[in-house]
Amino acid sequence: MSEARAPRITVLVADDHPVYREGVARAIKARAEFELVGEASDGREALDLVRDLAPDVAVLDVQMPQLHGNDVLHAIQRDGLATRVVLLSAHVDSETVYRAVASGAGAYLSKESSRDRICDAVAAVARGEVVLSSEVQAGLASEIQIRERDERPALTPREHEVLVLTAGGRSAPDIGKQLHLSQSTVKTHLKSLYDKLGVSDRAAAVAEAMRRGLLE
Amino acid sequence: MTSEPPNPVLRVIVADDSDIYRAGIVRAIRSHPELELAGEFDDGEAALAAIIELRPDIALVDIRMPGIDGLELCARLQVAQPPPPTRVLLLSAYMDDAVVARAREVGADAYLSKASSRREICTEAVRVGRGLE
Repeated sequence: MSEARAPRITVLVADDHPVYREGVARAIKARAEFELVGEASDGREALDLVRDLAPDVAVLDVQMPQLHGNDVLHAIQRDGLATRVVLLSAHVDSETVYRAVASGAGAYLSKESSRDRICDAVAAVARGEVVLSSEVQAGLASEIQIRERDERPALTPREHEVLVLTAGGRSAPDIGKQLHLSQSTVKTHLKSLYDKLGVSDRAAAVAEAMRRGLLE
Repeated sequence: MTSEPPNPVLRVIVADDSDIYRAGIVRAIRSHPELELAGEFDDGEAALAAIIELRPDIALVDIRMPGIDGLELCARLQVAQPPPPTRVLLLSAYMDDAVVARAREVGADAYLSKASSRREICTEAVRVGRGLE
């Protein structure tokens, strides 16, 4: 007899608040497509169970004793375990969300999310999708923007002019003539540009500036 | 026999915006012989109106809710006329000193960590509802 049905998605639930954990566990058990394989009441136990049981998906509270959900996620990723992670959090602060997504979280949801929303996220994450609840999306976007700005060094208007002309293939003497600057001043601007971009020559400066969105 | 039973059932209202947590509390109340569910709400405003109208013995209220949160709900009950007989038990995910102090300030009858088990929450609800120390 061949197995006709798709194998069930195995799920681990970890939360130090028993009432909440039981609620999530019940929601998981109520769906035929899922199999609840374990429950943990702290992050250390969760990580041990992930290693022992290799569930398809681990649903982890962010704020847990011993190890936080983010720490468990980090260990799972570092050790190359196949378990995908759904993080649930009472507090949705944008930096934590950013770090979780950067660490490979499959989903990040507010604990106010409904049972259906959490179960749908578990199924989606098992398929390889990424799910972010609406409460976390705006915070994540603004965190990315802040980090993007931080990564872009602030160039002076003059440095930017020198950069644009350099990208156009102009030599330092040409740039000096066009901007009515001495050649040594142009070189000072170039040196400052290289420092800000962390490079040591013109070609690398142009490539790095393009990568960071300073040039089109 | 005309005497009242020694332990009349206590009527409870539950307010929490997390439907998973609320469902867990509701289940615990329904399975407890001394407690009876009078209503469940996912926001503070509806819970406040229900407490004033239904005058339950106990309200189990999440501190953090959108709109009227648990602390605000307590503060408003303090000035409600006529004052409802309801004892309020606040539930909080984080039990730092500031939260506890604020809960006392607004007249909460008790506060409990959300890390408590269903049994602990029910035991505390009965204790508070019966005015036991």
